[in-house]
Formats: sequence, C-alpha cells, structure tokens
Amino acid sequence: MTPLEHLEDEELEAYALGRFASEEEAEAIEEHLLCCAYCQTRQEKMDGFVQAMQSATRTVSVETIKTKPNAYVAIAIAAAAAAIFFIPRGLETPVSVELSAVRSDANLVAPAGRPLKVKIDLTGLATGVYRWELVSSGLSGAVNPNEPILSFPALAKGQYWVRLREARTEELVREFSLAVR
Amino acid sequence: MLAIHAIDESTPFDTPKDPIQGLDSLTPTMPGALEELPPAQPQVDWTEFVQRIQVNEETALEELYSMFSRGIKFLIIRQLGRQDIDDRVHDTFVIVVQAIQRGDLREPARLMGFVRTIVRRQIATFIERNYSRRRDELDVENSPGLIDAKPSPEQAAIQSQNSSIMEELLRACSRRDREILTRFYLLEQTQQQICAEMDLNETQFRLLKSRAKQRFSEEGRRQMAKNNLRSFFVRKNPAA
Repeated sequence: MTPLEHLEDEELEAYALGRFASEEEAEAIEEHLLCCAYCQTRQEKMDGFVQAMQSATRTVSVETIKTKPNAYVAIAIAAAAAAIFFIPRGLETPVSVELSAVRSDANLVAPAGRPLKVKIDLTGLATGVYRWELVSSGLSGAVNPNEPILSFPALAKGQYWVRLREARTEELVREFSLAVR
Repeated sequence: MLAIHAIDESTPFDTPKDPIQGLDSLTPTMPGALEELPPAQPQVDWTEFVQRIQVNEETALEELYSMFSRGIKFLIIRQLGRQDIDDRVHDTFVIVVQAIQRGDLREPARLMGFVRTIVRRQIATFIERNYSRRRDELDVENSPGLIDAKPSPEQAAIQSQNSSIMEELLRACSRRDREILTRFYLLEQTQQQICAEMDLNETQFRLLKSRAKQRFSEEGRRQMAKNNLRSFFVRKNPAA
C-alpha cells in the first residue's frame, strides 16, 4: 500500500486479526484508516466477518470434538454396540476433577474418553468476570464464580492446559495443567 | 478432490450493494474499478495546513476535525467501545490541536502518524485510568468509569446472525476446508504453517479464504432479502 492507495483485503484481515508482519505495517494501516472513511467501512465489515468466523469455527470445532466423526465410523458403531453389552454402565457419568495447581508441575490426571466436570480454584482472585479456555481445543466459556465447574466433553489422551482470563482485558490470570490418560 | 482445487481464479466477484455488516468489503476489488473509488488520502499541502492550525485559523481547525474526527472515533471505538465516545474524540482532538500549536509536530507531512500516536496514547491513558479506578475503588457498583464494551442490541443481533450464517457455511464445508479455516482464524496459525502442514500452496490457501468470504457474502444477502420479505408481509398484515 502506498499513501495514495486503499488497503488490500489482506491488510484489513491482518488488522482485524491483529497479526502484522512488523510494527511499521501496523502503523501504516492505522494511519490510513485514520483518514480514509472508505477503508474504515471496509475494516468494520472485515471485523464483522472475522468475528463471525471465529465464533463459528469455535462452535463447529466443539461440535466436532463432541461428535468425533472420523473414517472409522463403522468401528465406532460396533464398539458402541459392544459397549452396551460388555462395558459397565456409568462411563457417561462425568468424572469430577479439581484443578488447584497454578502452572505447577503437579499434574492432575483425569481419565480419557470420559466427560469431565472440572472444578477450578478461584481462591485469591479478585471478584470479576472470567473466561476459561481449553488451549488449542476451541473450547471456552464463562466461569460462574459461584460454581466454578467446567464441563468438558470426553477428551483424548494428552496434556491439556486450562487458561483463565479476565473477561474484559483478556489478561491471563491462571493456567492449570490437566493430564488425560 | 478438495473443493478449493476447483476454484477458477478468474471467477468474477460480484459487488454487493446491501449494507449488511461483514459483507460488501469482502469481495476483492475488481480490476479497473479503482477510478470509481474515493481518494485514499486528501490532497493537502501539509506544511501550509499545519501553519494555519498553528495560528489557530478557524477554517483549518474545521478541516482538521472533518479530516480526522471519524478516524479518531473509529480507532477509539475499536479499542474502548462506544461509551463516552464523543467526549473522548473531543478530548483527543483538543490534545492534537494543542500539540500542533506547541510545535510538537516537526514534519508536517507526518501529520497522520502524529495524530495516530496521540490517539494511541489517549487510548492507553483511558485504559490506565479505568484500571487504576478499578484497583483503587472498592465500590465497583458505584464506579462511574467502567467501560461498557458490550455491543448494542442491534450490533449483538448482527453478530449473532453473522455467526449463524457462518456456522451453516462451515458445516457445509469439507472437513479439510473447515480445518484450514479453523487453524487460521481460531488457532491463529500462520499461512506458512498451515500450507506446510496441510500440503497447500499459497494460491489454494488464498482462494479458499476468498471463497469462504464470497459464500458468506452471498448467504448474508440471501438472509437479508428473506428478512426484508418477511418484515414486508408482517407490516402488510396488521392482524399478524
């Protein structure tokens, strides 16, 4: 972009996502937006698109995690049928887990393939509105301060991190580790 | 075969005319259409303009205001929401004028960068002030300075509608396309990383995104036309 050109769609998108190749690029885009009503309108619309895309990908990826569609559907159906006869009842009952460690090495272990009810420790945090996110899963939500229990769908084995952020500022206030085995 | 392989680069992008948020800027500008666009920047003799502001010439101040007020408002709203926006724009404008008249702007041609820096500082000041107030005032309920960053009911409705449209489109996508979009928009992976890990080239990646935007735009227009039609019949039928 030169001063006499309008912003490219890629630049509008980078600005909406807050991802810039350099600080100079961010400055140039913002300076242009400061005095170009045409690009301001385009930027507002790009913000709307990005916001909708982020919200939708979050929702749809959560559905994907919950439904877990894959190429082995037939095997899954067979396994589910077998489970009805052979596996003791109660696997669908969420397992309660209490997360109290803040970025510590003391890994809390939860069972894989079971829904989880995860209680998080808010002790010491100021009264406020907080949001949680399960890193890299697309799962997130608001924390109920009176009952800080998060419901997770069945998770695959692995190491997970649960982050707690201040809702308005997005400031990271806690991070809990959760190992699923 | 991936859907994106079938995209023809010469596919014309239509130019939407409706005002639905999130739609009409999303189609790339058609080649040759640039002549119809408004000028990207005002053609101004910056040195002379700054001199006129420095001597407090009224018309120069009016020009400065009309040139930047919308942009200042735009940048502040993006960071702080609409609360007290007119006061904040006014405060910022006054600081810009005072700084120019004090001679803080050394290079008149850098006026835009100068204004941007002041806007950025002002935003930081507003945030800092709110943070301090929240920290110092225990009586949060009665604190006057909390930022209301919530969208207005109209904006919330638009956002909700846009999200629903996008969810429908994503569900209709192939898993691979959905994964690419999720990686880019939600997981904040870079284009290079996605292309490397998913065996895509830059053109395929760019076209996939363009295609998603185009579908979103088309579906949004369809929804809007449907809503308009529905509201037309509702108005026509007073018994409803």
